[in-house]
Amino acid sequence: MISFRNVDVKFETDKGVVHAVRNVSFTIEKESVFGVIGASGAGKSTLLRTINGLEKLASGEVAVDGNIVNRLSSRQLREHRERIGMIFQHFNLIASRTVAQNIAYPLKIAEKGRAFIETRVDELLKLVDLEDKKHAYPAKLSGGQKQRVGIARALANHTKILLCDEPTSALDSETTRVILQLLRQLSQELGITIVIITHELDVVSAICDKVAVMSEGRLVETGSIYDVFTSPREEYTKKLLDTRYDFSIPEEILEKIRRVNTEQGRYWKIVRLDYIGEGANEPVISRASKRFDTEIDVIHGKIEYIQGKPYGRMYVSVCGERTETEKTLACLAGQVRSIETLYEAS
Amino acid sequence: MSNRFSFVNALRGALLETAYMVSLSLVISIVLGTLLGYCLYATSNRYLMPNRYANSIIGFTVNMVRSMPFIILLVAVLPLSKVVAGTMVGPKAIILPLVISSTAFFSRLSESAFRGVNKGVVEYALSAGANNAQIFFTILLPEAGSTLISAVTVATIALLGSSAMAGTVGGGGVGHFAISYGYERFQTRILLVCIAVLAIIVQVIQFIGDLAARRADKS
Repeated sequence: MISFRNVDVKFETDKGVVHAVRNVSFTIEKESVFGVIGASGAGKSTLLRTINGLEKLASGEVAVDGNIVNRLSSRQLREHRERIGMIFQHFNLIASRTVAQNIAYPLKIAEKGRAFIETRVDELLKLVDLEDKKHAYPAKLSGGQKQRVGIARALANHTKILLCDEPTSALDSETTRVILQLLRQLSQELGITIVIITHELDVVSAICDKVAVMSEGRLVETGSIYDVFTSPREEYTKKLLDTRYDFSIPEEILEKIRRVNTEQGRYWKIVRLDYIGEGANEPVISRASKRFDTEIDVIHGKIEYIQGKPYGRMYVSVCGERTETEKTLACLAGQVRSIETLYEAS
Repeated sequence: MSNRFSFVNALRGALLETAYMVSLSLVISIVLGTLLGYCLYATSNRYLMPNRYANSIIGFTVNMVRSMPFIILLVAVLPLSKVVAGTMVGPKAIILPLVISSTAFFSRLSESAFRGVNKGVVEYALSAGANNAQIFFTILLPEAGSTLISAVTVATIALLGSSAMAGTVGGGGVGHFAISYGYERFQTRILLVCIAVLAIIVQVIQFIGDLAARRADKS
């Protein structure tokens, strides 16, 4: 378990003191995949580096399995780091060493025997499926292969915690998918705790169990991916997520709805419906339109699955008599998580 | 015939003196310069040994030495050579000023070679539990290898130049030979031969240096 208690980090730069992390407290459970999201400069990287003591705290406490990281002596800190793997956005492989030598590096630092290192390196090469690149130099590898070397190297000392600093931000979407799948598989098979920081919401929704949202050094909110993604409590999170579901109704469509309904003397509204859980699979719209004398048109809709549970967002227009329309909307409101009116007849 | 023979012999002797001065001061100044360069690098890196004051003091000292033209440094340091090497003339006496000058030069070259190493790789090694000595030997030296080899090439050629200047104060070597025969005794042919020999030596050093640097570059 990793726990942060009132963590503050400050550092000096040429432009003065930067207060990178402000009073952050939360815990990361063992064997979970935990995501930290936020814009660049939100303090995510700094927070991640307090776990292995690369960043020093100004105040507060970071504990890993009960050991308080910021109180370790420099020797204890190096031993602590041997037990924690780290991978990076730009891989940070040692260019003057081959793939096998890169993977052997942390084992040499930990002063393991030569025979042990040899068998362990082969095991790891197999684990990340890079046996044919054993003697290649990093310059000859693709981005995905480099990150797989990074992962193998990070796990070499049978590490139980893997810190990932924007692990897929330099990869294309297909490679990202493969790397995320590998991370997920490793967390399940080896029982390791993975902490991922990223600005890519899709990465978090693809593999994390829990998430923390950071902005300007502060922890905005934290919870399970499904809860935070479908029912964000904080304004900042809502805004962050809106970019993901962003959809604006084309002006022509809006104009057409306005014109047709005005000509026919009908009342109308355009609303956005959010479904969660089982509700996303129920025929709420067709039911409502059968019960009331209104027309319901779907303008745009999307259902996705987060942690295997559905989450949907739909844009519909409802038109008819004013009272019937209001009744329809009231009926819909009872069956979806939220309903928000975007446009209505003036 | 005997004249030519004695000339060749004298030139050979001068070359050996130069080789002695250059190689000994090169080895010492590379070791000291690399350590000094590492200190300059490490004291300005917030993950290694951040220390603004130490960095300023070392940097200032290095700049002081580097701001002095070698000929001035030479005459200023020679009295010290009497204490260290026991003499103020000949190749032995020249080694101290050569080492001082070349160490300052090489410290800046190696500092910039270390700065050229991907910071992320240093950060990675720290995250794997490496200590400062391990960072130096297993990351900085090999990763900066190719650049450092080029720096050694530059420093060797600079030392060859400086050692020739030492000829003017009786330091011996090819420089002394060229000055005393070619310049002071107006034997232009000897001067030309010296120039040709020095040119060939520089070309050879550069060629070997470039080859070694290319070999060391894995990127």
